[in-house]
Amino acid sequence: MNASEALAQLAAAAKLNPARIFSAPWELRAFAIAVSLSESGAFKWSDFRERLIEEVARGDATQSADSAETIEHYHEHFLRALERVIQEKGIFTKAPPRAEC
Amino acid sequence: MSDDHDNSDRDPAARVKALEGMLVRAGLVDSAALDAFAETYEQRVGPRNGARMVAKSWVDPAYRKRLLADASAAAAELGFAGPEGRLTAVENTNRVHNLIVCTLCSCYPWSVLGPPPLWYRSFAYRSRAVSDPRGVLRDFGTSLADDIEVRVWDSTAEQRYIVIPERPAGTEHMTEEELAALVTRDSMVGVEILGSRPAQKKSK
Repeated sequence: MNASEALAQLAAAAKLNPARIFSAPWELRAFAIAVSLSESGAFKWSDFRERLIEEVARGDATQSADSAETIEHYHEHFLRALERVIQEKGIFTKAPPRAEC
Repeated sequence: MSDDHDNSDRDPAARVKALEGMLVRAGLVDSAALDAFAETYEQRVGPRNGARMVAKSWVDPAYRKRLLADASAAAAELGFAGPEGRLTAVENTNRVHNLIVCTLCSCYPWSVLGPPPLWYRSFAYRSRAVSDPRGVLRDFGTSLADDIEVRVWDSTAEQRYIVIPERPAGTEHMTEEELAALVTRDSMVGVEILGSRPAQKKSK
């Protein structure tokens, strides 16, 4: 999963133009962290995506479907999914498979 | 992060910062790589909507008229409506050069230019854009003839601006799409004149 594929996927899931998807610097930063960790092999993008889908589904159950509301929460779901995959995959405790360069 | 439920009420920006700090200390991510990613997004993806509006205004006089009359509506026409208050387009000509700033904070037309670059949010830019706009432009490698009037537009939460740069010479044969690829974020903030910098030159 490279950054532009990840971005396209995220934009499609959030039903937004890729140029409009981030509205605060932390959202962009969280996205960059997720892509960077999956690129370095710390976790698989599919592991992250599974959790993102769960977080979004959990959010949908408690929120109205108002679109502005949804996108605002989307990044919160994204961040929770990122925190979860980092914790659940134990990436701080096991050495990641890092490529030599 | 021992219990993520405890964490979820904290400000997300603080959580991302903490997470990045831990990952950097563990050697799992590189802050410079994250910066580079954010920079690419800010320069290439974010401003694409604004670039399409500018390119259209160069080839379609009726659109240009609508853009100058009501940029919010002209943006909405192309599907770029934003939640961020009124948008006004200001056009550069051979007599007037426009520059946008937000002196109080960092109001910026997100829906058409993406996230604002770091320098736009800096005190140096915010304080000097009004008092010494020509000096700011020089710092960006942009020099203006003395007889060109510089107009500085101070953005607010209710009122934001986008600069319509002049179409560079020698682009008469280009399609709207090719023209859109020429339009940089910096030119729509007003710190760059298109065609005056070497290709791919990055702003500071």
